[in-house]
Amino acid sequence: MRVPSTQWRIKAEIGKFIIWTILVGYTFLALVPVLWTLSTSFKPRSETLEMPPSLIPHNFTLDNYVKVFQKTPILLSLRNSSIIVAGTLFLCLTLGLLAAYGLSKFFNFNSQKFFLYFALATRAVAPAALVVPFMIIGRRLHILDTFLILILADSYMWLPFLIWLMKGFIDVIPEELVDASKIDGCSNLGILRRVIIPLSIPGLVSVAILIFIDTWNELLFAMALAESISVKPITTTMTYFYTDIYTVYGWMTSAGIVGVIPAVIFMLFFQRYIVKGVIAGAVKG
Amino acid sequence: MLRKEANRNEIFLFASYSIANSSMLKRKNVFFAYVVTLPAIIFLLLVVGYPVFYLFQLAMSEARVEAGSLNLKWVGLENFRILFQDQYFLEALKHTLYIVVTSIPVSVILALVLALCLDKIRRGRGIMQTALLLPWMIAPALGAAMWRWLYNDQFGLIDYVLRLIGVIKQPILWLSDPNVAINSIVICDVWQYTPFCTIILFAGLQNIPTDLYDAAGIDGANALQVFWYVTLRLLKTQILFVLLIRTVFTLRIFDYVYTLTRGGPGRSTEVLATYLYTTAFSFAKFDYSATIAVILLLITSVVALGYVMLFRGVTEG
Repeated sequence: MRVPSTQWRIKAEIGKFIIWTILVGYTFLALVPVLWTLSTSFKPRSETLEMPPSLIPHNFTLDNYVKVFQKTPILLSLRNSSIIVAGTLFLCLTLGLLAAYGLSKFFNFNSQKFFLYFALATRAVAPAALVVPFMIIGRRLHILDTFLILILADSYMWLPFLIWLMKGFIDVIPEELVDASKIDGCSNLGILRRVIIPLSIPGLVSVAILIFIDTWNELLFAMALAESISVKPITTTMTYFYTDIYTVYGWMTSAGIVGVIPAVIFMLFFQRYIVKGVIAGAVKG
Repeated sequence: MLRKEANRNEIFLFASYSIANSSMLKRKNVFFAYVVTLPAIIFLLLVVGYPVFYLFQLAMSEARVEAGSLNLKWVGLENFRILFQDQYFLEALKHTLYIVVTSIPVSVILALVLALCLDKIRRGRGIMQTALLLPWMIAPALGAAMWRWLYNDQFGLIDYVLRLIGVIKQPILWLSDPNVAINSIVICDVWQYTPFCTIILFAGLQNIPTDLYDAAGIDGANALQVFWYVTLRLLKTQILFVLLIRTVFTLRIFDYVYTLTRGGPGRSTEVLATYLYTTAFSFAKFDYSATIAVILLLITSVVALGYVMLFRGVTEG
């Protein structure tokens, strides 16, 4: 009896070892770009061109960060990105929550289905396909190169997604709870404010994070629809670092790190919600 | 007798009152329902519906810029005829499909392996999840800063390590060799989207009831059989979903191509999205760009529809 059990245990140990090797190995490889960039951003210019390269900077310096903030409009771009993200979040959440509430609690199954498939169809439209129409229509309406058009453009992908997800969250709120608050004299909007929103906060947060990250990372619309530096978000400002033949790698890497930080901080704080949001998105499609 | 009458009257009154009230309430509710739902519908019609209509109109016109405004002249399918003889377009299509058929299998298989590993461990799972998910948070436009530096042929880390362990003698020109550049983009794409696939597949694995594994074990199935008949079979929906999302998004790939190579060197990494972007914004050929966009739209829609139909088949049968 003892021999097979130790054999089994050895086998399990080997299995565990292999599993951990794969996980840690892949994670390490996947994080090398980040670590290497981080390390370069703290090196003086001479050290970035050293061979063999050092993973931990010998002459640690914050010079790149100081220069990037002083000599490039990165701070302005961070502000612009924040405005665009905030606007998109506000627009999506307001329209999406109202529509999801209306659909879930007032419409019959067939109308719900019709609207949801319409929303799904709009979501399926590739952003690249809309760039040119947005640009031409935006010029005609004189809203090109404003925060407004970027917010509208960034919202179109996420509003349908939000409606799908939120409808799912609101559907599972028991009808009795809604009826009870109606009897207590709540108006329809009161029910939304007092029952629906508080109960769907976790779902809302996870969707909001997905919207935040995706909007923060958006490049195509930002390049096509914004021209002036006072509107351009961080992603387009980054592309300036790529155009020069003579690139200062210290600046490029530190600017990249600065741009990534908000999304990463967000992620570390809300990691649980992100996983939830991604999975909910997978279920609802 | 009298009391009975009064009672009946009362009941009648109450009933009629409540009927009137409920229909009024219903009407009020219907009004409310439209008020809250319509803004989103109108938004989507204006921001997506109209631009898509305009896109098709543009694709079937000859657009001329006259006195600062765009004049459209109907030409039917002429632009499409030109498009299918356009060598650059066909190349862009080929490159896009190349990225789809290389990046997606690699990232999905990698994700499956990682998800299976993640499913097997208990301690440290949260930390591993966070670390694995990190690349997905990073904007391709910003991630490009990292990759450009890694890919650098003189001071880049990748070439240095490869030379150190003796895999290569000459540095690989990751971004400036026409034969290599597209693969460098595939690597970035895999790096960026494997985390997302892993999380979805991992969630699917978590939903498989453990007694199924036990039952398979009692039936004498070996590890490979369990994987094939239990795990993969029950993971079908998630795998299909991941394939759908990845295919649709990779067909639209723009960010990494634009920020790493701008379609170059030469045209060796030009994809549909970058081609339509430069056609419109560098050469101001809006009608032609719209034509490419229509093709992109049609391809992604057909692919999405195909997957959705597969989904139905899988979930029902």
